[in-house]
Amino acid sequence: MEFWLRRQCRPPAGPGAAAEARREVHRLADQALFVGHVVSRASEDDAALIASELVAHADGACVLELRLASDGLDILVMGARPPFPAPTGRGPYVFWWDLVTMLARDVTVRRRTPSSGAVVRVHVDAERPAR
Amino acid sequence: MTKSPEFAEDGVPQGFVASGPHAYKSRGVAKVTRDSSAPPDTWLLVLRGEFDRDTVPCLRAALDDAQAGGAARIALDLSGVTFGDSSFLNELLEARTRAGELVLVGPFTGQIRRLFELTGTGGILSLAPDRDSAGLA
Repeated sequence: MEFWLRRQCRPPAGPGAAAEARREVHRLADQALFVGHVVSRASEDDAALIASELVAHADGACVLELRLASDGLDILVMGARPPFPAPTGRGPYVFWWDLVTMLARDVTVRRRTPSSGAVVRVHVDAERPAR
Repeated sequence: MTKSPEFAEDGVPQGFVASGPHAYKSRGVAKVTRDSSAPPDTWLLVLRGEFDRDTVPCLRAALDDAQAGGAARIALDLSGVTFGDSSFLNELLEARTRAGELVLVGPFTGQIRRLFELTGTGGILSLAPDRDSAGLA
């Protein structure tokens, strides 16, 4: 599968990493428009939220990669930390991983091995209708 | 009311800065200010920017102040919120359990509307489409 566009960045660990991840998504969407491929505003928003949550919960340096292809947008986080079972018993509460999986078309988790960290790949359509 | 200049969570400074009475800023991208034009029993807090795990502390500080100030009703103007994640949502849900009455005031941006719809927030929190329908100027 050939990618129309690909961006990779290493958000600096700490506060601001999630914001940097969101900016990368917006840069990709702008870049896509510039070369003639549309990422709908709705899909861009979904991708920004997914990238933001994954990077926020990566607990330190991770690598974010965004890929745009004809079948949609991939968000990959190398060094991600997919969750253990969620905390419970605090009243109405939205767990971040649930948000990611609700927005995604598909989610792939490659678990950590001794030689490499976990990789989470989330796929969203590029043109989700706005409403 | 002043806050300590650094608000640390998990040992990582969040860059929360108190800018004076009724202004709460998180470094970079999120800000909460109190709009004093509201009726006396209501704290109207105007949120601007992007609220994620890193920037939510400024909202928490503002809500703490509202509660300490004896607000019978807290209205959060979210029309300027361009991004909110699970932490933001959970902060709102938590606020509801502490406040007398909590209302979220729109119009809401696309991403926030999407967040609310996806999670069924409208069934738990009071949403007003605009300031008029919330009984505010």
